[in-house]
Amino acid sequence: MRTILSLFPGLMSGRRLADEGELQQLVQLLFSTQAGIEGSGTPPGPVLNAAINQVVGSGLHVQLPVALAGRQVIVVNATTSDMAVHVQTSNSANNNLPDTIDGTAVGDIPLGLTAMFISYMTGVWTEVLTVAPPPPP
Amino acid sequence: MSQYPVSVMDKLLSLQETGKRLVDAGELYEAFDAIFGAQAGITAAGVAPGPVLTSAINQITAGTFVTLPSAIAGLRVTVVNSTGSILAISATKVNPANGGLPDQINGSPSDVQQSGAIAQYLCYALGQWLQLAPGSTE
Repeated sequence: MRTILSLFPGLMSGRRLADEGELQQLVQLLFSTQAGIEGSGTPPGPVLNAAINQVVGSGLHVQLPVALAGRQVIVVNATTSDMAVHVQTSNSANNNLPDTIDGTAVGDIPLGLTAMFISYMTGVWTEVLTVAPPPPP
Repeated sequence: MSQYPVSVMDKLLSLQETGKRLVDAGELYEAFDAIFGAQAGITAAGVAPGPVLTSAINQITAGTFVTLPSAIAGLRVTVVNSTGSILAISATKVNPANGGLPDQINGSPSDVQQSGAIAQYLCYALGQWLQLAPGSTE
């Protein structure tokens, strides 16, 4: 079964010219951000391609990338409502089976919260929600 | 100087000097494995200390006791507790990189993680883990 690191076959031991493209992809998996993503009014919505994603506007539907073990995606709900986060319905790294989030096809992020989606196994996401910020004094 | 790496960066010998050169891609792999490596379906032990978690992201599906790896600075370990009960997380009792002293989690030899919870363990200093619980699971 493929994992996120299996996408980078150039990283073998020994001094060598590293594939800069692979390194860039790995760094993107860690540090890439995309703000101002507009969610869709209908499912499944746009695929979140960055490591850290801020979703705005009134559309509540977005979609995670394929779940490859080791991948982590952060989603900031800056929309005007609760959000629905959909999985990929076919994951080629997992026999084209649909991904899941804690056993279901859709995760939700309450208004104003941030969620981290962690793939501990290819095809599977688990969701961790931040706690609600305290009310202003 | 310790013969053991005392931080994650200590493991990356070919990256420690600036300038363009051939790098050890295996070291790069090891560095990224410390970030992206994942292992699902781990069975914890029925008695302490339990198996050592060797990946960055670990899902525990059964049992009660697991042990964090030796605490070297910069290491981060995520633990997903899918056991259905409380999980006990132990620090290693002998850390070779720290003169054989025992590691600590939040100042103690062990900590617990509630059923269904995900926690991250951050080694901020040699021998010392901090348990971070970023939030509740769905």
